[in-house]
This record gives sequence, C-alpha cells and structure tokens, in this order.
Amino acid sequence: MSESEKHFVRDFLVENQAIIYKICRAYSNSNDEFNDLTQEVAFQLWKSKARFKNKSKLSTWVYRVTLNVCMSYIRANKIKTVDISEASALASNNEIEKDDLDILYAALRRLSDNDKAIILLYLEGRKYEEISEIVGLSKNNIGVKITRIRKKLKEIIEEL
Amino acid sequence: MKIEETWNTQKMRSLGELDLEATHQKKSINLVNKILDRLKLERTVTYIGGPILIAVTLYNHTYLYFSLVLLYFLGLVLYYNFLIRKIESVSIEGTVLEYLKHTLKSLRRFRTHYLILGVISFFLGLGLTTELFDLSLKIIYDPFWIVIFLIAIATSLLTFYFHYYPHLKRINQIVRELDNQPPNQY
Repeated sequence: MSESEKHFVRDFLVENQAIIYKICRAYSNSNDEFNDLTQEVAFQLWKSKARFKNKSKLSTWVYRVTLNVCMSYIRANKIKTVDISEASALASNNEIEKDDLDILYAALRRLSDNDKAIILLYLEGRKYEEISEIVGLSKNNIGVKITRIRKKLKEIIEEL
Repeated sequence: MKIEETWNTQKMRSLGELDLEATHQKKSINLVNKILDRLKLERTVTYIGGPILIAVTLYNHTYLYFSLVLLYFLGLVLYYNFLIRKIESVSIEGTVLEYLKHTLKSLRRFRTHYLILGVISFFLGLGLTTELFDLSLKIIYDPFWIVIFLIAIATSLLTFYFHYYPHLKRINQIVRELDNQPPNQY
C-alpha cells in the first residue's frame, strides 16, 4: 500500500470515526467485540471505497457499511445483557463518562438489532428519508417504528 | 432522562491509531467473507485433488472411472466457480435489508452446498471401495449402504448446523422482523 493511499484511508477513517465509534459501541458487548467491529468496519470501508460512486451521500454509505458489518457480526456466544458497569468499562477511555450516557448505551444494547439500527440513525439526527435509504424500509414505516422504539427505549431506561 | 440530549452529550472519541497495514492484511471476520474463504479453500483442494485422482485412474487403466472422475471434476470446478461468483456478488454497501437478505441467501446456498458435499463424499467413498457395476445394486438392495448414505448426509448437515445455524437463525429473524410491515406501507 502506497503512502498516499495510507494517508487517504487514515483521513477518511478519522473523518468518519464518530459514526463508526457510536454504532460499533452500541453493538458491542465487550471491548474485544468493539475492537473486532471497528477493525472490520475499517477493512470493509477500505475495500469498498473504490466502488463508492456518489450515488448516495458519503455518510449514508458509511452508515450502511457500518450497520451491515455490525448486524451480520459473528458473535462467539449468544448476546448477553450488559450491565451498566460493563458498559462503563467498554466506554472507558481514561475519562469519566456521564452516567446517563452509560445507561443509554446499556438500554440500546437491550433492543433488538433492527430497533437499535433505526433508533441509532434517529439519534444521529438523520432524516426519515436517509434512514429509509440506509435501512431499506419505507419512510412511513420508519416513522411508525421510531415512535414505538423510543417508547420501548424509555421503558428500558426506567427499568435500569 | 432526555434521550436525544443525552446522546448529544457524547464527546468526539478517537478510534485510536488503527494499524493500517495490519487492517489491510487481516482476515475478514464477516460471515459472507468467511463462507467465501471456506469455498475458495475447498475449490483449491478440488484443483489439487481432482487431477491427482484423474492421473490415478489413467495410471490404473480404469477408463470408465477416468471418464466419470473427469466429468465429476469439471462439474465440481464449474459448480464452485458459480457458487463463489454468486456469493461474491453480495455488496456490503447495499441497504441493511438488502444486505441481510443476500447474506441469508448465501447461508442457505451454503447449507445446500453441505448437502451436496455429503452426497459427493458418499459416492466418492463408495466408488473407491467398490466395483462400478456393483455400485447401483449395492445402494438399492443393501440397507447397510442406505444407512451409510444417510449418515454421510446427516454428518454433513450437522457440520453446517453446528457452525452456522445460530447465524442463520439470527439473520433470518432480523430479516423477518424488518420485512414484517403493514401491506399498504411497503
């Protein structure tokens, strides 16, 4: 790999790391899973970068690849519920994070993979149209689902 | 807790220094890529094993076997290339629903592949241990060979289920949930 290619890839990944970080974190049950997922997303984005033809927004493409990697990830064991302290450990970057955010991530992990994908895109401020382009469902359906998932997420947060 | 507000309190986090060379050279952990790796390995084994078997039948002057093995080899090469091309066409850049449907289809193709492998390994084993003319008679009349045939298929399918069934089940569930929409809205 040439140096210019390395620079390009590094810049591209840095530019999109916030998206990759948040989605991979919500889909990870441990640090190992988080590392596996971020590495795989980087690998897949890199591999498919040449095929990106501006048919969709760059962010739409990054969300699609990241979600596709996370949702088809081969977990060693069945998904287990992560408690808040585990979630905090996962988040730990030598910096104390707000409790509420830990609880939110813990609640997100308790949602089904589908619900998690849709609500993550909603929380990221994506419009219904873009969410529809990423997930492949109709706009109307996205709206209905978001209302239901928000309600469910609030219930889980209250339980925690 | 206000969900949206809490979400937006997140500070920009760095993914750390990704080792680009290592990422470039690493093996993918993606399900479709794993299936592809496996199929490519099997194809390589076929490319090596097929000509050896052909050479052995030629060396032994068993020309009927030679023709059958040659046909079997060519068929297998075409089959592997077809299957690999089909699975390679799955694009990770598609919508989540499209991609997961393709992944599910690939897994089902792979399950059929295991069934075919069971049948092939049975006939290959039988062909190597018996006279060709006895082969059809043995299968039809000898219950022992029917049991062996069933065991070969069961073993092959169990291998698939042991390694891939949890993923097949999970992805099937995700796709079913995503697809389960009111008819007037999709």
